[in-house]
Amino acid sequence: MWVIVLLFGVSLITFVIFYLLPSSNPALLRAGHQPTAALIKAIDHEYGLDKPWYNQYLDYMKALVLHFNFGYSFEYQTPVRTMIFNRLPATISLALGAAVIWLVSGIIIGTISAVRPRSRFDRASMGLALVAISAPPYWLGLLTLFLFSTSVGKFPIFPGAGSYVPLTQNPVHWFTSLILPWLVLAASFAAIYARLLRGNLMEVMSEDYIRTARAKGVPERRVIVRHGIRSAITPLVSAAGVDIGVLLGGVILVETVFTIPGIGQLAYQSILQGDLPMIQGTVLLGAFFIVIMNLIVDIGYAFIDPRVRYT
Amino acid sequence: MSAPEALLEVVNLKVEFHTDDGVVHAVDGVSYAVKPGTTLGIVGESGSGKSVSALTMLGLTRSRRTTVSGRILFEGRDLLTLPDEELRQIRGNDIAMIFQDPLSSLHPFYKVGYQLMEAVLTHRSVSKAAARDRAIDLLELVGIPDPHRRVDAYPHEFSGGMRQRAMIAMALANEPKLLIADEPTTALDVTVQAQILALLEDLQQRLGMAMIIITHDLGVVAEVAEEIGVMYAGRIVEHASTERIFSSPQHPYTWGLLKSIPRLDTPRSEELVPISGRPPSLINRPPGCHFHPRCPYVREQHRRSDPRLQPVPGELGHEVACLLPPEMRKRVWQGLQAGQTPDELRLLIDEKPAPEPIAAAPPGEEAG
Repeated sequence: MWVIVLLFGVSLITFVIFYLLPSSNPALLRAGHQPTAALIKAIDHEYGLDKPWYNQYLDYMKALVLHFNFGYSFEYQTPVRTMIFNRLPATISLALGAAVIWLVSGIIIGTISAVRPRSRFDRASMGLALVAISAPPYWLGLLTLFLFSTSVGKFPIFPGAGSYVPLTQNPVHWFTSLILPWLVLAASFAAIYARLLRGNLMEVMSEDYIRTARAKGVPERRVIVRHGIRSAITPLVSAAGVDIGVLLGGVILVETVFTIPGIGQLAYQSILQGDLPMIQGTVLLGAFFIVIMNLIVDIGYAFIDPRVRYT
Repeated sequence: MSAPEALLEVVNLKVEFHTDDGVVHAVDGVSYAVKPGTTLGIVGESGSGKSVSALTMLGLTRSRRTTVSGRILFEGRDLLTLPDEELRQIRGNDIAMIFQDPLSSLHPFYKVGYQLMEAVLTHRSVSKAAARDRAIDLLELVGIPDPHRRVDAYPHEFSGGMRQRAMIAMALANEPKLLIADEPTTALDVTVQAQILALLEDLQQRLGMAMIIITHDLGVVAEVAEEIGVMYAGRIVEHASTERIFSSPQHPYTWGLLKSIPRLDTPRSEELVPISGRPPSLINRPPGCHFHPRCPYVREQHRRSDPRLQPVPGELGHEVACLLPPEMRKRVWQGLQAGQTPDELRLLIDEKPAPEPIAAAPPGEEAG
């Protein structure tokens, strides 16, 4: 229930920001090189921009709730819903792949570092993690393109910007074209999670129940994985729910740098073009994902920690 | 002490932890033996090295920053030189251990039954169904009601006493020859303490295993143990049968422990006598007898020479590390039992001319 309220709130705030803050005038942008006042007025009327903003909001909401209609893009004159759905697979490919890389590498690096604290591996990976956390994704994106892309790279290994093709068209090409974007998007998260897990796991490994497991004769590998990581990973699960939202922010930058035709790029362009229905659509989609992820995390948490199940 | 029939024989065990503050001499030349089916009580304050010596036995203190020397012979094999993997196969199988706080010692995310099954499956190749049956049997053995249902409960759904019973069940999963109980009753209510001790004693008799009970409370081992070793600052300062420890204790520290237990057979007006001071730092230990800063009967020479564990004349199997002459110790203990305070008895000692030291070893030399 609160999910619906939250999404209403998000849409309202987007609307208000668009109207109250100085932004590009959508009608002016589309009136050509010599706009006349009458032309602008006509365009305003066509888009419904001459009505008071709350009326516009009500119209928008009516269409959305009754017909699942996100309106028409000012820029492309096509339904926003269609455009978003067309671009969704690219963003999902990017986000899911990055999430897999980020979780797997974060957990592996964090675990090895925690089990061998102060070792060379630990020092090197934690140093690298600091760099990865500090580096902005767009800078990292440009750097990797400069270094590794087949188009301009010093070491042309991976396809560079603009090489994305849908999975259904050519799976191999899809995969190779996404390697660099995945790594760039996952880098800072992997670093954060490696550090988080390292800290948690080092703490957990000094718990009494770890000593009990060892006293039972459980092999050390199993002690670390089944008893240690099992506990240390719990805070990561709740952090992951929040970070999905941050990931969407990262998607905008990475899609722009690598010119991947996804939601992030769409959102970025629609902001530049003052395309309100498109901005509204992408923001709502983003909010929807964050809410859903949080819901999944809450359910997942109860699954992981039996102590919260009964409360 | 080195009887050939001993199940476990600890010989001159030393454990040192290298920390940033210096070397911690956690265990300093401890020797004891446990025969099959018997119970040894190890008594001492926190930080006296009693838990460390047990954990070392299972290899749980192995680390780059730990130095261990001496021998721990279990059925003739030296556990200290055993490779990690061979020692792991002994842990939880031949030697099992239970700990002080059963809540923190059980994994909060796994069902009790799962944790019991893990203990079984670690050392035996049986089916999961068989392991589960074994888990239920074990819960029944330790007196948990309705074990068929309880096997699927989580530790937080158990009471404190039931958790410790579950820990005991886990330790017994592979019918160990030796059970080490490290402060098994400390975290429990007094009424539950008695139940757990009775359970341990009963199980020991039924399964015929040997036990080492580690505690700070002489009252805990009084009923259960045949022999008691009193530890102070990483050493055994007195070792005797339980009967002797209570009837003719020889070490001023043991007197302190005994006099600080409330008793029903003494008048209510009699005050308990606490042991003054705090346990010594194990990094910078006091010179001479380590107990001298807290000993009411200290003499000048005790600050310099370090006592070794020596047999008490006329009492077979009773050993003590004290520089006071035996007849003096006897008189002080009699005085304490008659209700005299350590301060009054201290005068008694000072009247006498300084006696010859009975035994003294320079620090660092092998003790006992």
